[in-house]
Amino acid sequence: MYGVRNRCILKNLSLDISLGEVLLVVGRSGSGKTTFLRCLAGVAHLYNLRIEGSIRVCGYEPDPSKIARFVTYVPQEPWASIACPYPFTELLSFTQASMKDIEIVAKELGIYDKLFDSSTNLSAGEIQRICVAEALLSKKKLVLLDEVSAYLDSENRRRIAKLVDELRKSGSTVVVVDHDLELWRGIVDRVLYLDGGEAIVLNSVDETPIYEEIRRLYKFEMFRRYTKSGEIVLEARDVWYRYPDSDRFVVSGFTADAVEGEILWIRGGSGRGKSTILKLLAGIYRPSRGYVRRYVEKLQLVPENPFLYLSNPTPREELGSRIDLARELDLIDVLDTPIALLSSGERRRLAIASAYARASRLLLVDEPCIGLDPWNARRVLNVLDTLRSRGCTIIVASHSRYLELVADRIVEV
Amino acid sequence: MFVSRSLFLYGCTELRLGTNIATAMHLVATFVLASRGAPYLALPFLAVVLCYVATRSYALIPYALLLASIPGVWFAVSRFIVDLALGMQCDPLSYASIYLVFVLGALNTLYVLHATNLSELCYVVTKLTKSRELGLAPYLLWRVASKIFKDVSEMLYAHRLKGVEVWKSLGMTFVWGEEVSKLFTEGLLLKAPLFRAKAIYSRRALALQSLVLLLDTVSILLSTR
Repeated sequence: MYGVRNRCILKNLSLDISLGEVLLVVGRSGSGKTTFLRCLAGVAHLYNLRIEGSIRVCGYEPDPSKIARFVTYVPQEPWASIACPYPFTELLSFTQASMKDIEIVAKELGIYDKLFDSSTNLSAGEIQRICVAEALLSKKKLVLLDEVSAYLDSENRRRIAKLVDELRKSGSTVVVVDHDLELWRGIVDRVLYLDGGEAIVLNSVDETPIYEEIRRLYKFEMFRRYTKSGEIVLEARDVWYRYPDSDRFVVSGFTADAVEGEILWIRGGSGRGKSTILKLLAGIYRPSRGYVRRYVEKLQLVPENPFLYLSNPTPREELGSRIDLARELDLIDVLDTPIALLSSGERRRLAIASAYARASRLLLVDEPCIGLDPWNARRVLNVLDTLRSRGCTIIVASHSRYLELVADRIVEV
Repeated sequence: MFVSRSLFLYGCTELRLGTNIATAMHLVATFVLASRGAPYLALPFLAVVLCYVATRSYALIPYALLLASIPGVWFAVSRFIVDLALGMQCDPLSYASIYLVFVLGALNTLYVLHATNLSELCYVVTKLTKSRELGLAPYLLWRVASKIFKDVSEMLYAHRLKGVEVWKSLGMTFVWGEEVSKLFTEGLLLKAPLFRAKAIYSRRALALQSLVLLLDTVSILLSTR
């Protein structure tokens, strides 16, 4: 498989995947996992990927018009595979299931209450569960899941793994790209390990060469903590907030202080109002009750999608005179790369660096590690740690356990 | 943000489970009544408010009223300026009447957008074009529009705090729009050919629409006297 400028991404890959098998695809960032899945799904041409050799999916070449009735593909950005404005219409329109069956599966996945909500207002985790619900209900022969647990908290990851097991029992073949090897232990039949353009097929997750490396990334290696000055930069007291279209308060009685030079982690599962709290702290929303006081002149908010923060075509222009930050945050090699071509990890680091360049005392960051593989997540944590060491206060909203490695204090919501 | 809120505030309410034919008929009736004067729009306006309340979509009313006020104020003020420039007598009542006609007219137009049954639209398009991909278009258009509106709102919040000029934000909107388009293409290439349009209705929604049409008819009859 060849990418842009004829770069060889994968070579000498020969593999048969049987019906009812679960195959886990693992490898470092950039090893070709998503490329592999895209080739199976028949979307390789969208990314100018060239294939030598042959791929047969259910007996056909991976042409979408031929394999559509056999294959479900959930891409890395799961929201992009939802076509309808409401989840229940998505499940009615793309499966043969009745409303009753849809409700049963939705209850199993914990998304029953979301069926009539706007698809746009669902969290990434909820959308991923809608996609899995669709895979279950459509009973396709082959299900391709790219980074399926990247947006999920621990409870929902276990749910998804259980459902993949059920998919296998119902006779579907599942190819999963993921890094959480412990999650898939006992569920996957084989592991396809990709590294340096080569592919090796293994019988279990334990045999995976990077198993130990990934375990270490998840371990409790605490970053060095720095002494705090004690000066409060932001206080929130008994903050309540309700959206205009809702009867219930999404934020109820939130209280927290943020002290100079600390990382304050607002922790909670999917749909608990973490992003809303950040917007309240930033002054974008006004609390229905309570108050927020900021004792710094400037603050910056980096949204969950870091692309929405960026406002210049290249990192060099985004950072302006602060090229020193590019060196520190490992962006020096991509300074002149158009932002549309940056990876998710690079965009996230750039957004945080740019925000710090504009407001070095207080940053609000929404889900800094979401959607990232362990290596990139770790790099983002390094960035947060570096900024903290310079006295920057960082308030992070996240469900990701990576934050345990850097957070000074945790506020549960 | 007001546009986004007024169009995409709620998920699938019962308001969206009527028939588009009734909604279109109401729109035609609104234009006819608007041409005959503001008082004749009172009953249809009440009927529309009743629909919002009955389907628990109350929050749409202030957003829609605010959006509808824009053409109302525009035309009323324009008329005042013209009268002033031509040395004609300024009549506050006539400006109020112009404002009301346009606000009520715009509000009823917004009601049409809030009450459009997308599932029925998809079904009709599929039948007419015999194409599943084209049949998906109404759903996809709504989905992409709401996604873009939401993302752009988030972008503008972040850019406001950042102090970014509006033209730059606009530029980034186009870049993001292109990326969204590419990602949706990847995500839906396999799904689109399998789309099955199903028209979904609610008896209660149809009953409410009948009430609206009844009040429209009464208003038209009153206006012909």
